[in-house]
Amino acid sequence: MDTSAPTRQALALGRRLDAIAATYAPVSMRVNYLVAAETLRSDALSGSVTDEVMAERAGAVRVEIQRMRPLVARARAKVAVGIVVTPVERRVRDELITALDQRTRALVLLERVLDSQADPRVGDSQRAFETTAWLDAWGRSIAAARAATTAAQDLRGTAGLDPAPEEALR
Amino acid sequence: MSGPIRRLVPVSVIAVGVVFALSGSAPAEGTRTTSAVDGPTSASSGARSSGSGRSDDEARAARELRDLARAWSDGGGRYGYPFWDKAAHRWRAGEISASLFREYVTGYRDRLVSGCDLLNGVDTSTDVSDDVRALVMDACTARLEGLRMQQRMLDEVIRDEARPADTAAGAPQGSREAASSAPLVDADPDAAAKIADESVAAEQRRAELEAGADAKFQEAWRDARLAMDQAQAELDAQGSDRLAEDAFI
Repeated sequence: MDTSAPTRQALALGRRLDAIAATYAPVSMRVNYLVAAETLRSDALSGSVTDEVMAERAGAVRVEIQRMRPLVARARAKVAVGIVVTPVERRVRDELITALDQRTRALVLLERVLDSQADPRVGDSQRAFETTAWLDAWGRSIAAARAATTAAQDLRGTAGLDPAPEEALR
Repeated sequence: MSGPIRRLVPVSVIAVGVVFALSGSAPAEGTRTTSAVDGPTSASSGARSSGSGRSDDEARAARELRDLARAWSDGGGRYGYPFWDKAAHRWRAGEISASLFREYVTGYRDRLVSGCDLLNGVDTSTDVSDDVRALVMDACTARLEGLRMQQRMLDEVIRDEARPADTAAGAPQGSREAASSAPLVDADPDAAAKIADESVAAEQRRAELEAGADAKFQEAWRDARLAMDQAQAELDAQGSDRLAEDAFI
């Protein structure tokens, strides 16, 4: 077991990674608010709930979209100017930018899903198309955040640093 | 907390309670929902098993990975984790009580007890699915241990909150100052010292349980992430559809 203390360079690397994670943290914190609301809404689609309940659940999702949108925009602006030195740090930052861009897209697409679900003129195939598009963008966002986490944790391990909180980048 | 969110809280609690109570409440197979857990790729589970040039082993590995993802989702990924995580944030923000948060923890724990059994019942027979299964089983067990510790930690918090207000007047609950500054015990220094010691011991127990739970959650999240890394890498290498990205969250 390596008991040697991390070098000054390693500590500086840890601080830079922590700074990037901190800019992303508000987005991570809010992610399950949206997932929980959307889970309840999408479950209602396959159940027998009243229009009123359906509208309330869709409203909850819209609230979460509105709350998440500025967080994503702020995080995007800050992550983009975060200081990176090594190629792996740059990769972490790029993955996070991808995550944020895809999340921005996902939020727009989810809003379209909500609009089309509420509009009787929209056909099933259009709704299915929009649903797939939103889930695809959301999945890409989660995948990029996971890739950033793996890259950051591996980098910390190589530098002899303790792992960062796993839930920081979601 | 804004108005709409405040109005939604009871609805969410009721809905989660109903979901926990109805084990068969997951959408029926083939039902198209917009769940973030059941991503677009999972809809084509097991597809392309023929005609795509994959070997039998690859097809079996892909099928077993999807079985694991489905078991994880049914066992707590879809209905437990997001609601529990949201409740944890709300409790830390002071928006809900420790007692209410404990209900979420208990609900998630109960679901995960069955969820770990469900995962354990998934048969795997390829190197990659064996590895992924081992990781998600470890993740499930660690998460369960974390939830149990979190319950005990919340018990300490609830007990602390239930202490008579006049034993903690003017100081943070659980602190030595809280007990020693209380008017009731000022008249009896021995009683004051005893209460102060108990309070400090309770605070210490709480901190230890909180740290222990967090360590278990970190372990669980790390193993789940590694499982996902491995599963998606295998499916990418095969040219198969990926699992929904948050399948093991």
